[in-house]
Amino acid sequence: MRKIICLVIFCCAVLSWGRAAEKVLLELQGDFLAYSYDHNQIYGEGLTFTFGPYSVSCQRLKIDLASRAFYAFGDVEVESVDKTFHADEFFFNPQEQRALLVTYTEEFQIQVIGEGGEESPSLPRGVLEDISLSQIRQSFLYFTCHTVQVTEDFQVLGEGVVLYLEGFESVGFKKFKLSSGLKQRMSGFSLDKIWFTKSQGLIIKGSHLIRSGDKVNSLTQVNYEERSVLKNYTGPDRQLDLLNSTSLLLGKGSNLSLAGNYNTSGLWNASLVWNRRWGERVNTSFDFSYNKPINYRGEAWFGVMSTVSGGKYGELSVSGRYELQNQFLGNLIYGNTFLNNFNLLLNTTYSRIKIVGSDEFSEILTGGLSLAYNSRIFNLSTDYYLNYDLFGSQLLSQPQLRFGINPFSFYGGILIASLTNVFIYNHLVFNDTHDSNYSNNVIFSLSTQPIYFRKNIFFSINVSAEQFLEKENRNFTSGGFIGNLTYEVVRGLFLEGFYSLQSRRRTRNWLIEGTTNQDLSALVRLNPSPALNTWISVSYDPKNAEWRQSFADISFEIIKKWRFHSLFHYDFMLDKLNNVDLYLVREAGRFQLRFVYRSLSKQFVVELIPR
Amino acid sequence: MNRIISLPAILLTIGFMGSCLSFRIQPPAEPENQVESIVLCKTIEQREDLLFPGESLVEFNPAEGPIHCYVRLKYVSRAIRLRWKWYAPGGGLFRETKEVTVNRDLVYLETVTASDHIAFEQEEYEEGRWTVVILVNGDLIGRRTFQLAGD
Repeated sequence: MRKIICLVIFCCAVLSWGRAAEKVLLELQGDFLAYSYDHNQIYGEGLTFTFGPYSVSCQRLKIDLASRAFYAFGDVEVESVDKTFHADEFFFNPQEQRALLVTYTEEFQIQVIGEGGEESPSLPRGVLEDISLSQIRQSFLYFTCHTVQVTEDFQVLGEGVVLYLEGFESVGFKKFKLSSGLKQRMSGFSLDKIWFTKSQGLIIKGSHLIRSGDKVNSLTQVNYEERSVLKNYTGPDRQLDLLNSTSLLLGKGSNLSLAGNYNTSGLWNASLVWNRRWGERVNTSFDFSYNKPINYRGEAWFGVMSTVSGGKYGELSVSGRYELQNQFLGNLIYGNTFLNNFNLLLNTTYSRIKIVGSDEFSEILTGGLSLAYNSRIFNLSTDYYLNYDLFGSQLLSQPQLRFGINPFSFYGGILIASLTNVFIYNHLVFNDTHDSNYSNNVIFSLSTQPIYFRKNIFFSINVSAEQFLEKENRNFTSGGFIGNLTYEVVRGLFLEGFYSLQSRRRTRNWLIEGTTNQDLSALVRLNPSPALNTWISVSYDPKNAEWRQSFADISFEIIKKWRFHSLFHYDFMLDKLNNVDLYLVREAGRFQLRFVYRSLSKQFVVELIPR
Repeated sequence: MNRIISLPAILLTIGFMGSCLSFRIQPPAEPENQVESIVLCKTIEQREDLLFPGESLVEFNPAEGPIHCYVRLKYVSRAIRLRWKWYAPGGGLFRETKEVTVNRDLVYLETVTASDHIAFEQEEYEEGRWTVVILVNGDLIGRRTFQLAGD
């Protein structure tokens, strides 16, 4: 145990030092600097910094790290050994070493520094208008200091930092890193995680990255789990996983990728894929993979896949894979759009796969053909699906026909109607037995636009009917009506009433049976401003003359981006408050802090949710 | 052997942690003349000694009245000189105000509000993206752009 503790402490120290040695992209010195973790933004005053060969000073500065926008303004002086520029604004990109200087005199003048800039640059739009010190001060987490470093992967380090949590001054730090930045790995070894729990034991994760320009990228990961320290653990004492993923750029349009995985439990696999692009329209990949599962014989697969983009002649994809034990997989897909409104899709797959634990093979041929026509008024499609089990001698074929009239309005645009019909036929052949059935489903819907009785009272209805018919005579007819009346009492206060009637009838020869449901609901909604959004509803069953249930959703702002939100559910049938959820939420830019109470599970949870 | 390994590890950790934490850091002094907001709007309302902007907009129709550029500053303890410059889409200076001196009495003002506006005679304007900049003591403190379009 002592060894483990020593190892953990040592690794933490090495990890901390490794991380401290990140390259600095930009170092800012100023009279005042503030960094908001919530919004990943920096604001500064009275600043100096270095930009390539230039030394820059300015009155104010704004940086939005998420959008990589850097903006200095107010009495900007950009000075090199042989040249000095004066300007009002300085837009710069420290990664690409390009900048734009803007001066406001009789007309605004724009000047470019660095290579690759536009010949006639325009004035940048919306210059980080939302960033201000007031806004940063409203952050849940921010710091102020005199020196800030932005690293190459856009992490932010402050020196002489005073940290603020919800506006309250916290302890000071000589050097502090608060941002998570961009997860961009540098070449070399990294100890990613050391973790110990009583249930999992000791877990160590490390990785090694080799990166050579854009040509070679190889990541090797090692995951080690030590369980001998656990009490009453019956599995293996330790386990090691070794994973590698390597990609090589061979030339223009050609790359090779290699992946491997070894586990001490006895399984391993490896794959090699060569991708080649032949011009603009054709892509081909060749692959070889070997997979050795635990307790079973390994499988070696060779494969090829090609996609052809034929423009007006359609898209074609063909793939085939062969395994040394005589297994085979093949797939062909063709799709095309022609005469503007017709879509054709053809898909066929053949597989010959060994059945696990025996020397037999399953052989299945599947295919699908779909032809669809879409117009402004209606849509029509036919589908044919085939599944042929060559080993089990079973053939399923399923043609379908779909027809729909797109929603159309009439009666001066007040009424909107739509109609859909789906017919499906199934035919199954098993040995010498033939079995077939069919079904037809038709759905009709009619709704109205809001009909205004007065300026603040309106009404809308929706009527729908559905009939389902099938060969076995299990036929259903359903119908429904929903009416909605809304009355805006004053601005932001609404009274709403809903009436719903749903009937489902089963018909068999002369017998008709079924059910009818009714629901009458009333709702009060209050949302006069974004700070308050609340509704309370209650529902009543007129058929059985009984109250059903009541819901309430209350949400309002408390103070400084803190919001209270609650959900209530009262069940009149059980005569009890069924559920209460209470939320206290702090919106903090790129994350949300939530204190949650759920009465059903009797849980109190604190959640930190990244946005 | 354990002690040999653990001692440098603990020293390294303490060294790293010790270089991080400090309890004697003074926060930087609060900057003066902080820009709290810059708003482009159609109306400005005065309540007691302060001005309040109407709805913030980025598109204006000159026929609907003047375009105001409102600024609200915080923590002003010295005399400051405010100036607005309005630029047409072509980049030419359309209007430049004289310098307006605020807080001549050198008292501490928690909030300072001010505004300038432009208005156009019928069809005497250039459609497109306009720019307004605000300067305090000759230094730029903010810029806003807006779209000007007729009916």
